[in-house]
This record gives sequence, C-alpha cells and structure tokens, in this order.
Amino acid sequence: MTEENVVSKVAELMETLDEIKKYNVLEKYLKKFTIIVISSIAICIAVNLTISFFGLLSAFNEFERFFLNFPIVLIPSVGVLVGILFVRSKMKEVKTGEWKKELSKGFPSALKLLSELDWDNSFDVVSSGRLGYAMYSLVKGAAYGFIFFFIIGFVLNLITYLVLHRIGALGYASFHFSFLSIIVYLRYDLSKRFNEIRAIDKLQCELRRLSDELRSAEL
Amino acid sequence: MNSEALSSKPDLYVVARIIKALKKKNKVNKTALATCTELSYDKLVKYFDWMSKKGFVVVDDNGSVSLTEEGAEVYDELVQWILKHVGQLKFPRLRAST
Repeated sequence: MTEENVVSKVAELMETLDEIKKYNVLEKYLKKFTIIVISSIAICIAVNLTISFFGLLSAFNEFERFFLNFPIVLIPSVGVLVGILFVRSKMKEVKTGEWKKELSKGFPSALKLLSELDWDNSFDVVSSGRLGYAMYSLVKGAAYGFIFFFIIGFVLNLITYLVLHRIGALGYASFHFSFLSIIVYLRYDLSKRFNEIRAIDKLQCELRRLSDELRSAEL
Repeated sequence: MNSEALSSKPDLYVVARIIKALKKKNKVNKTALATCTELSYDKLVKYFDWMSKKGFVVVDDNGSVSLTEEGAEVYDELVQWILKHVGQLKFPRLRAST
C-alpha cells in the first residue's frame, strides 16, 4: 500500500472518465448520424423507384434486371460507413490524457485531481445520454436490416436462379431472414450497451460517495 | 484563500505537497520550499502557520523548516485513507462502440 498504488488507481479512474467522454460524443452526434443513414436509405429507395418508373433497365430480361439492380445496396452501405466514420472521427477529437502530466508529479497531484474533478458534470451527460447510446444501436440496426434484406435477397435469388432457373421463388424469405438477423444483432448489441450503462451508473454511485468523503475530510 | 478559511479547511493536496517536499529535502527554508512546492510565498506561509499549529512542521533558529514525526505520520495516514477509498473503486472495462 504505497503512494504509487494511489497514483495508479487514480490513473485508472482518469482513463475510465476519458472513455466516458466518448459516450457523450455518441449522444451529441446521434442526430447527424441518423440523418446520414436515413438519407442514404432514402436515396437508395429513390434510385430504385426511378429505375422502375422510367424503365431504365427494361432492355434487360428479368434475371439481368434483378442482378443489375443489386449494386444500389452500395448506397445505404456507404451511408452507414460514412455515418460510423463520422462518429469515430468526432470520438478521436475528444481530448484525453490531459491529466497525465499533472499525475506524473505523484501522490499530491493524485489528490489534487480527485479534489478538483467535476464528477457530476462528467456523469450527468452520460445519464442523459443513455437513450442516445441505445438509439444509436437501433438506427444502425435498422440500416443493417435494410442492407441485409438486399444481400440475403441477392444470395437467395442467386441460389434459386442456379437451381431452379427462377428468381423470387422464396417469396418473402429474404425479409424474414434479414429481420431475424437484426433481432439477433440488436439483442447482442443492446444488451452489451445496457451492461455498459449499468456499469457506469455503478461507478457514478461509488464516485459520489468518494467525493462526499473527500469534501468532508479534515486533517 | 484567506487565513480564516485556511484554518477551517485547508486544501489537502497543498498540505500533501508541502509534506512531500519536506520529506524529500529534509530541512529547507521557506523561500526554497515555496519554489519546490510551486506555491506563492504568501500561500506557503499561511499553510505553514496552520501546519505549525497542528504540529506537522517546525522551524529552527536558522529559519529552516523540517517535518515532525507527526507530520510524516499524517501524510502516511492520508495516503492510506485515500487508498482505502480509491482502492474500493471498481472500474468497468469501457469502450464506447460505434
């Protein structure tokens, strides 16, 4: 039990708080992420309708039309990718490790960091942002569902085309499969996110108690 | 921070900085102590007076300041107290996923 133990424990705490700042970024940029993803899906639908309405692929037969139409799935795929990269770039902008120089001075600096930390501010944003963190997963899940629908549809139709020389033989199977995939994905992703939020809540309670102890401490 | 406020509730980390510097330097005058603790001289004097009243530090006839046994014990207790509280914290492995 030495000063070094305190310093390393405080470093661990500060690293955790740095990570928590990134959760706030997700909440802050959720709207922009949603706009990017929904726009790409809307563009994809619009392109599909335009092709059908103007009969742009009418010169081709049913099979060729189906396979030529498939590349429009790239539009929502790029939309999701751009959205994720946008959020990641904002996360990278979060300043972390600013405390390292101060903490390198040893135990008194660890004490200073503990005394001066704005616990409530750090955690309140997370508390208000929990819905955003879950919503992010739902928006991403919906977009993945849309992309899966195209991809699974393509694969199933390719199989039926090769085996039965027909497309559309499996009816709504691609919709059901994509729906099932998204349920599985969301179950995993949402439970992971809720576990993280619960862990943050628990840490918040412990830090509030520590903060009260520090404020009331006297020599 | 005025002296009344200091006498009622000093900043623990300032006290810790002074004690740590004294542990390292053994005997030192107030000006040198202010420099190595990065405190203004006035602030150091206020803290020094408070710590002197508590019996944590003493000043000899040459004006050199040194740490008392009680001061060293208080520092160790402070380390243990902080470690006790901070040591209880369990940090979740977080990684905000996109």
